[in-house]
Amino acid sequence: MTHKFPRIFIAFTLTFALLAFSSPPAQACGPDSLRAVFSYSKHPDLPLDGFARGRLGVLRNTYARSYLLVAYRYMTGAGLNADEQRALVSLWNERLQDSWEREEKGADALDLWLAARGKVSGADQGPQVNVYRRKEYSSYHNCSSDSFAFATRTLNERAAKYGATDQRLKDWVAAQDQVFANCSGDATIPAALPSDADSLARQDRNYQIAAANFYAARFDEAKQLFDEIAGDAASPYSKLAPYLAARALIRKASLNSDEEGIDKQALAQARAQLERVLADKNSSENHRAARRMLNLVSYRLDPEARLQELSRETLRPNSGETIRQDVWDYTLLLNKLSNEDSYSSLDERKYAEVPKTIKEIEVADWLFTFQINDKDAAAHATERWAETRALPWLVAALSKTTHDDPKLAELLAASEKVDRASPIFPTVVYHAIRLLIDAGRTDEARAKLDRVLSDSKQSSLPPSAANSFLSQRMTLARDMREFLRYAQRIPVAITYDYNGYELPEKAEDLAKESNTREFARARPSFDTDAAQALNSAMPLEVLSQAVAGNALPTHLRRELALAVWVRAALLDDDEAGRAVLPTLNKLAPELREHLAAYASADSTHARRFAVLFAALKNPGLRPLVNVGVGRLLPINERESFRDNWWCAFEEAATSDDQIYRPAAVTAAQNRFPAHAPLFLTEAQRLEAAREIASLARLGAGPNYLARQAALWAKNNPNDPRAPEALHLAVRSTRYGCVDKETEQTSRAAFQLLHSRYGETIWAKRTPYWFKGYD
Amino acid sequence: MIVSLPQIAKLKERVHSRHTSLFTATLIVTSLLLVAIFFAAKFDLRKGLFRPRAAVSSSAASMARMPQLILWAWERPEDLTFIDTRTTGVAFLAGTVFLSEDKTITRPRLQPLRVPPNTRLISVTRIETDRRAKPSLSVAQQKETVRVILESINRPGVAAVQIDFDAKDSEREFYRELLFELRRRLPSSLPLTITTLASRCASDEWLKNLPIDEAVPMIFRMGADAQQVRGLLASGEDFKSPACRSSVGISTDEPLPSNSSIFKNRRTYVFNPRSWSPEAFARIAQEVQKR
Repeated sequence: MTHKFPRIFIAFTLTFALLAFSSPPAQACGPDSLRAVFSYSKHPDLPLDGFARGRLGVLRNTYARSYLLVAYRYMTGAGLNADEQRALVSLWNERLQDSWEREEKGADALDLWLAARGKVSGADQGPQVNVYRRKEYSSYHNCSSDSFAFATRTLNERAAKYGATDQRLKDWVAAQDQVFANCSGDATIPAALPSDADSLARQDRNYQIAAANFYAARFDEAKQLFDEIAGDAASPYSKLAPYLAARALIRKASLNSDEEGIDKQALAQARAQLERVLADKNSSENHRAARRMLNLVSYRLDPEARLQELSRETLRPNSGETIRQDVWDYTLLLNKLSNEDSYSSLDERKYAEVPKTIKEIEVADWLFTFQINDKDAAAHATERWAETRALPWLVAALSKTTHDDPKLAELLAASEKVDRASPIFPTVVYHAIRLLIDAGRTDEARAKLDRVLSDSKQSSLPPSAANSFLSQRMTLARDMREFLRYAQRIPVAITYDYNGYELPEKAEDLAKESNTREFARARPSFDTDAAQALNSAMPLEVLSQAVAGNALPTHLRRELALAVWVRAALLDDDEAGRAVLPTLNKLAPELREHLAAYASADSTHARRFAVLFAALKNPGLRPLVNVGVGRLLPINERESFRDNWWCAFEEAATSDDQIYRPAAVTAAQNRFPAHAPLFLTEAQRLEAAREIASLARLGAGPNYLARQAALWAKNNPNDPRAPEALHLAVRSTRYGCVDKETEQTSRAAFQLLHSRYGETIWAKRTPYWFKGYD
Repeated sequence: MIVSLPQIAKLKERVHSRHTSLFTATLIVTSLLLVAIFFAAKFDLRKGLFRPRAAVSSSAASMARMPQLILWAWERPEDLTFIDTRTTGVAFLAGTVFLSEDKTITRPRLQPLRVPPNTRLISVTRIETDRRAKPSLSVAQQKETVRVILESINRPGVAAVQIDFDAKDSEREFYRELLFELRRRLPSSLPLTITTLASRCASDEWLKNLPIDEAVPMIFRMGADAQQVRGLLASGEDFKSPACRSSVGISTDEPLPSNSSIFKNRRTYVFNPRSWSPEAFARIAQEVQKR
């Protein structure tokens, strides 16, 4: 006993040690959410050069104001010349850029400076430079790319003049290091050079001292020193210095502004200083920068006056490249004056809350009216159009009105007069068609649309606009063939949308991954409206006939056939299920075994089980077509974010669900689509509704699968598929949609598996059942 | 005293027996000591390091003294001078660290923040990784990130640190190492908390054994996990992970979970996609209070 005990203890300790050292199990992680965009909502189609040239497409009121302003220019005849187009495309590209790309670009100038100073013989690594300076709980960008670029240029000039090993150069570098230490740190001011030092070296040093004070937030000292430099005609910085003195005042005002208001005195001084710079003809190389700073000062000192000014400037024809800064400032000012940041969502904005100063300016009023979705904005748009008959107001009124508006006839008549060659024509005709459809004037709407789509082959509509028209035309389809022709659309972007700007992933990046490779080339898929109509407005009879035709490309035909096959099984519709077998035999060879089992089954129940067994083994099977990119995995692979099988048809739709579970088209839309296809007969619509109601009663896919697996096992205990089906059913409750029934169905399947098939490998592989939420 | 042979034999037997017992006792004690060391030290063989147990007790006590309502102040101009500092704290975004390939790019908070004196502040650092140019997750990146976070706490009123990082599986080890290093270098009484996807709290083993005082499950912007998490909460269940049971994160623009027990005795963090206003604050405070 005394000998056995230590052995047992050693064994225990060693076993424990082994267990303790083992790694925890790896956990699966789902892919990022890739989605298809069929019409851009945040900005026009890319590249933006087309929009800048006047290819406006269908203008959306969700676009940023900088785009709507350009549209306004085109509507009022100002347009954009080549320089203006380039300037605005550059603005838009900068705004759409990932903020980290901007950060990295800023770092490039610093890197160049560090590389340049590193070449100076004997110069050490130098201190690390942090371009931000802290102020209370935030920081500000203290040292800009321009600062480093200027320093690099100066260094190169001095190196050329003095030589790389000259002490004056090394001293200059050392002093410049001190200057940049002030970007983030405590004040470090270089010492002045003695009066007998080289004159250029002294002038350089004086400039560095002034700059150091600037970065150290000692603005009064900086201003004074720059003024002294300005008075030294021999200094190479004498022309630049007055501008920099103004910059010191502006920076002082920016950082001194608090709850009491802005530092108007400093700004007023800056304004006076900048006006002197602009008046100095010998300082023309600084005028552009001075003008920008003056605009900034005006923006702060008198925002309402600046708003008026910018409203004129941004519409002035041939304003050249200044338009870039003007549009930038204008849109920021509009945001600021309208308190945009106070709204939780842009849909909360109300026309009544738009400040009077904005409403009093025609273009600004138009921008806000066009963007805001409430009744007041709609009424105002129609009122302004009635008063002015101006094109921008026609567009705003058309975009907001409804088919029961008393002024509908007048608006539609006015829309007819818009020239087809006008940049705004697609927007006008889109809304005219929308109103005709809503008013039930389908033949007129169809005729208009067909002409637009025919013309678009010549005029090349932007793809977002083309998809918008295809969507409208789909709702007017006269038969299923026509429906399918317009239901399939090529997305304008396939995107992970990391920054919320709907920017497309590069084709070469998509091509690298096996699960996204197929999206590297443009191919059609179903947008939400098409999927909704197929999934919830059409009876099986119509869907199965659609599979037989050749209106769809192979991948969409396969998708529809699979959906019909599964749906037919759920509804015990053998005829519809059999109808798609030939297509599936050709297009879904991986299901050969299951298709054969289905074909040879001798009863409706057996056929149903054959399909459900296939579904259990292929989590991608569902009685629905997918939206956009759908599931990114083959149907036999399980997806980690529970996008497997299907959810209950009566679940409420949420915005999260739509974005992140595009394949699970959700309920409220499923059951009551806004525009059911017109070609369906009343009997077909009723049949579709009946079918949806039946599907809704079945509940979430995994629950249904578990119930059916249990039922089949009870009635067919010797079927070799039964235990595997039960195992898969229990597992499905872990990886698919769940609800309050899941616990019961999962447990029931589990218990049946273990009680009846306890010795099978399937029971051994099923140690747990699931409540659905772990 | 005469000792007979049998007595000597018995003595020998007793000595032998004592030696054996001594040996056995030594073995048992050594084994027990090894087991005790394991539990005390929580070693990780993968790295071959012995990690000291996280000094959570004083930081946990500090965390317990934080207000029950915390407003997230994100990268927007925020004027929170209207709050009552006895009941409300502020978790402000102090900066963001972006990891891409071998680079560590940092950006401090650029928008102003105003708070009343005596506000209990949590300095939040967000970590993002480049989805296209995957980060190398090097030691250098870890060190720089820790340095940035440590720098961020040097501000008046900072009473805790929070890390906001939606780490993918492949990034978890890096994150874990970072948290341990950070905990080691933070003052022992300064709490360290993290935000986490709510779904991680439903099932994730990874949160276990992290040197944190709190993991805030964010019950908003849940994306693909929304259905699972809402279902769990609606059924009356709680998060599995104990680290997730002392707080909850919500947003002003999403419905609150219907299960009100998720708010009982838990710190509530509130996100606002826009700048805070007294009205927005009053609305959400009332909603939270109702629960």
